[in-house]
Amino acid sequence: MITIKNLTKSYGSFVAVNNISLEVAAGGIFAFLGVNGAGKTTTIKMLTGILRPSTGSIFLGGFDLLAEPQHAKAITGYIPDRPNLYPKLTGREFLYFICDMYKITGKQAERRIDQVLEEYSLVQWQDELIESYSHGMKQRVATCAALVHEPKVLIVDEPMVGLDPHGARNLKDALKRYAQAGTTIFLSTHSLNVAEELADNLAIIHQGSILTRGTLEDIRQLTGKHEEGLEHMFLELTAPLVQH
Amino acid sequence: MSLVPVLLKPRLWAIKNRWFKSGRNGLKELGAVIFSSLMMWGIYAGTKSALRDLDRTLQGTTVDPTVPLGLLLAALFVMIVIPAGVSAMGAFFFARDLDLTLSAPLNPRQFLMGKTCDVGISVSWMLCIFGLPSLLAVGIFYSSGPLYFVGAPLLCLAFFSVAVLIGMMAALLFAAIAPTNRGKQLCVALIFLVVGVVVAMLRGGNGTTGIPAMLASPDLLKKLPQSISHSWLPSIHCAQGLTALLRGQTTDALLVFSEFFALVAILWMSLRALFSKLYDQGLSRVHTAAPFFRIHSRSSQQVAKWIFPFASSPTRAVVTKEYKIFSRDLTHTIQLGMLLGITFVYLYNYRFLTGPAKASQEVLNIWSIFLLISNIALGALVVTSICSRFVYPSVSMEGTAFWIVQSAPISLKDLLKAKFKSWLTPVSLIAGVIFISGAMALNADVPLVLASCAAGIILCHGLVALGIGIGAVFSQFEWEHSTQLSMNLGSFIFMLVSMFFVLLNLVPLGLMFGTYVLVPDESEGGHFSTFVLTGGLTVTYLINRLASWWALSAGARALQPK
Repeated sequence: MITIKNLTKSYGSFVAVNNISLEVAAGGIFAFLGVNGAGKTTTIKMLTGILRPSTGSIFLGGFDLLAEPQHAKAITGYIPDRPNLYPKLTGREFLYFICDMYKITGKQAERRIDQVLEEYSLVQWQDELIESYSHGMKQRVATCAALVHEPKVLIVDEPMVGLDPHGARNLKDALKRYAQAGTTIFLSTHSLNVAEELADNLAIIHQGSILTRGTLEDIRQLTGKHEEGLEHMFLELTAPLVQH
Repeated sequence: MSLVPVLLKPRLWAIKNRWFKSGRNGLKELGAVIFSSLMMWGIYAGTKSALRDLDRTLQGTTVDPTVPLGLLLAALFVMIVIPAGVSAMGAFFFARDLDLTLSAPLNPRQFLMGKTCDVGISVSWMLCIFGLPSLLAVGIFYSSGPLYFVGAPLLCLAFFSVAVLIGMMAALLFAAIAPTNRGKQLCVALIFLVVGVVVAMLRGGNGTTGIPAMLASPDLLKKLPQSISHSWLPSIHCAQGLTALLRGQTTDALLVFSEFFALVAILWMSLRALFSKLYDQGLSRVHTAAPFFRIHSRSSQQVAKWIFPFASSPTRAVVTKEYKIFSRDLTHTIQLGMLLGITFVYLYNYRFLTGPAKASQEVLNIWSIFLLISNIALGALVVTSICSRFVYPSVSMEGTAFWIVQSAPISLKDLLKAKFKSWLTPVSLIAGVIFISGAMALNADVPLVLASCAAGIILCHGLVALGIGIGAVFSQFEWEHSTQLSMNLGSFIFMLVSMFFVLLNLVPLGLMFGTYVLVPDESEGGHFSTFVLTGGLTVTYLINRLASWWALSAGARALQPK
């Protein structure tokens, strides 16, 4: 469902993402891990069409993101790490805006908006301006916006930032549910326990290059830490490369 | 006091980084400096030429320098007070650094001093670009001595401080006292009240004066000092001080200096008192204000569908979003009120543009062509200023939420087209009213009134597209406050390009009006006149279509992911 081929992003002489290639099958959760500045967000911004790759190609659901951006974006939802929304719209108006953008109109739009607002406990806030929302509520609205058009590919950048324990639990359950229903989820996170709990496959990126990839079991084999959690393995893999 | 420079350091570092650490943006800054220098030179040369013309018009009568200086300083005062008030609202209540500064170990005096410097710096460019070149021109025109060139900048600094402090006090009072859910309505009412007072002052009590009439008639011009020399106006005090400096009257100048610096001290103390009494209250009211109307999102979506039945859903999404955001932003309301006020004064003054009473038909024809072209040119300038305030910033207004449209299935060209459609209708409506009213005030024939209206609406096509396109090329998504957007380099460039564009459009329109008025229509049924008007408007339309295509394409290219 997601194919990344020889993706590189350079800013002058600085290479933020260096020739990475990945394949993510439909209906799974793929965790993309790395330390700060490793290249996770740059990769995600290229996957969502916000940044243009220096070289390489991205296919979402078979659509080339560079050649057919509208088709590729139409099947993709994106939850950013910082929920910068339109503060002067209400939560519901914002979701109408998103539905119109994705050409979902009429009763279908009403039904989908009601559904996501209910799911993320925003019904009583739907007619308030977004500027009056807390950070966690804005994050929930951004999540609703990413899901309201029922995307086939969901790209999620640090989803748990600002969510309370209930919100975080709900989101984790929802991500599992969407994956089971066939949505492909590309999840970038620092929270290794979240990745461990949710991901079928994962990759660790460091200084723009893929350090390792595979299932949790594959990484256990690689590190030889059969009884350890992901945090322990991640630290072992990245510690020699990180200078604090 | 020692912490005040700490509050200003981020701003100074930001300026330094914009110059030296932002790659090609440094070149943009250099362009801004060159452009500003050219503008300053233009204002200097224009002021000198205006003073010479004035001298000639008055046929040897010596003009009291207080008159032009008073006019200049009155305009500058308004130009500083309003942005200072808006900027103070932002700095006091909406700045992104508020959480940091309010939780830091600063005492209120340090905080206030930091914010005052911040507001002062943000509006100081008006004094530098508009004020100083004019003062220099006045000094050189009146052959003044070194006392003027040393004293005038100091006096202007005090004058500038007075305007900034009054603006800041108004912002504090407004935030703390205005009913929280009726701020917008109150603000509009205040603006109309101010416009009414200005018009009443311009009438000067006899009901027959207007700005163009004053400028056209030496007798009326001589009465101007009485219209603006109300002793309580700081602009008149400052003008009197500058006149004393021009004439080398040191004692009089010192008196004005001491008056001004005392006034600055009193205003500063008043601001401190207001701040200590009202700031917390204002901050709390601003952040807890409930909207005037309860918003019913479902109903507003239904209304949007009803208003735009044939628009595609992405276009409707962008258009309705634009209108909702515009109508809910207080700063937009303030600016719209100001522009409506300017438009009102503009239309009001057209009443006085009648032709010379005793002149041949030939002269009257030429005069009417001149007035028709002037109507288009001046109306287009009003439309340009509306576009520079609202249309030009509309792309940047997406702000940090721009990722939403970047990741949505809509091309950037379609996004710009939707924004273009959003703004074309309201701007065309305003332009229609301006151009029709102007042409009717000039007693033009019905076909010329209609042609003026059509020409105005066609011009809106090009001007709105240029606003959107140049706004996209100079887009700036990280801003502290939306009012900053209409004051950046791109806005200057938009104004410059628009003026050139209006001049270009005046060629076919001038030919059209000229032919219609001067060449007698001897064809049956007036076909020739119809042909002339249709031809002129068609050529204008083609120029505008081409300009809008170019502007939107250039804007879309500039916004492409990098």
